[in-house]
Amino acid sequence: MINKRIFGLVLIGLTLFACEDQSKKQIGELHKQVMDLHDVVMAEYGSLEKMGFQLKDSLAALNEAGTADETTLSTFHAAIQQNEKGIEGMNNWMRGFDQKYEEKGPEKAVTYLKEQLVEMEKVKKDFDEATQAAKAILE
Amino acid sequence: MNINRLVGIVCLLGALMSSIGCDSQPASKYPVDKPLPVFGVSKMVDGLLVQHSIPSFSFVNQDSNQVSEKDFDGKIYIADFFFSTCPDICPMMSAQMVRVYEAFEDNEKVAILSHSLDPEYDTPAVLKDYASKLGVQAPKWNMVTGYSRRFISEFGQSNYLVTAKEDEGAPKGILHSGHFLLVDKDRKIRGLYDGTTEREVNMLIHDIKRLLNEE
Repeated sequence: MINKRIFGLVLIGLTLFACEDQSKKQIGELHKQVMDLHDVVMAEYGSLEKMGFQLKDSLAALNEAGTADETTLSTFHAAIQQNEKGIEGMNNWMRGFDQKYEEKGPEKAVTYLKEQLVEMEKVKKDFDEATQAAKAILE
Repeated sequence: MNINRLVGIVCLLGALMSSIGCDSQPASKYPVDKPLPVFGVSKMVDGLLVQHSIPSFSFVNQDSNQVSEKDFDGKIYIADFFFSTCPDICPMMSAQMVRVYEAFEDNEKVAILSHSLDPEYDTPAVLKDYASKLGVQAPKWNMVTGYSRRFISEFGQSNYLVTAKEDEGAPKGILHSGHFLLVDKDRKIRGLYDGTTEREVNMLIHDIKRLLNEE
């Protein structure tokens, strides 16, 4: 009888250990996915920021010359807006990212990282679109 | 072969390997038979060839004090660029910079200057909190803000992202790459190190000592 109880407790212990190990693995994988996206965006952050400054300088020059048509000016305005959205999107994501997410516990940490992955994918999409829009004008 | 002889041979081999093979990390990043390189393109000013150096600056540190080039007079400093909110390479860089801080904590001739790349968010109070968490203080380690994003981007690109023969290995977009720059007392850049790796930071610590001896 006692042996059966001990066996049962060991089984429960092993199951809990296996679950915790599984959660840790999932957290590790999700964390890596989020950070990989972060790294891709950060590698291009400086270039996008610089293109934003160039767009603003070019627009100021066009306004001063007074020779650009409305279509050209609105193309510049749209690209600058996209640029700011891309840069601010990344800044806001970093500012909001809870680096102590693991303190939430395994289950909530997994949920949190899944949400962050979705957010980071959106940030990258905005970033890529802003880069394309700027390049279309500047290159 | 008796056991004593065998043990002797094994010990001898071990000593040889540790002296030549296993400890393969170079102490310095740059050739030791000449002074550390000077990075950046030299310019002709009034008919004289002037080497690249960091121009005058005035920022605000984590204690809300003004920090200028005058605070670095006669000092070597290590410069970097960071976001206090960055979750990936910045904590790695900070951990490595703490090693530099601790190695030269008692040496008044060495300082650290970390420039925030997110000055809108990184107010002196935010930087103070960041410094406190790392257990570091100004003036040994100044974390600075008080400028526009455009200013610091252009200041960093034009003054720290130098192009010269010695700089061919410098990565593109250095401001966001986690590099540490070694600056001498004449504000010339004398070394470039990956601030995310222990190996490169070991070389930086070694080269700071080299530079102190050189000067």
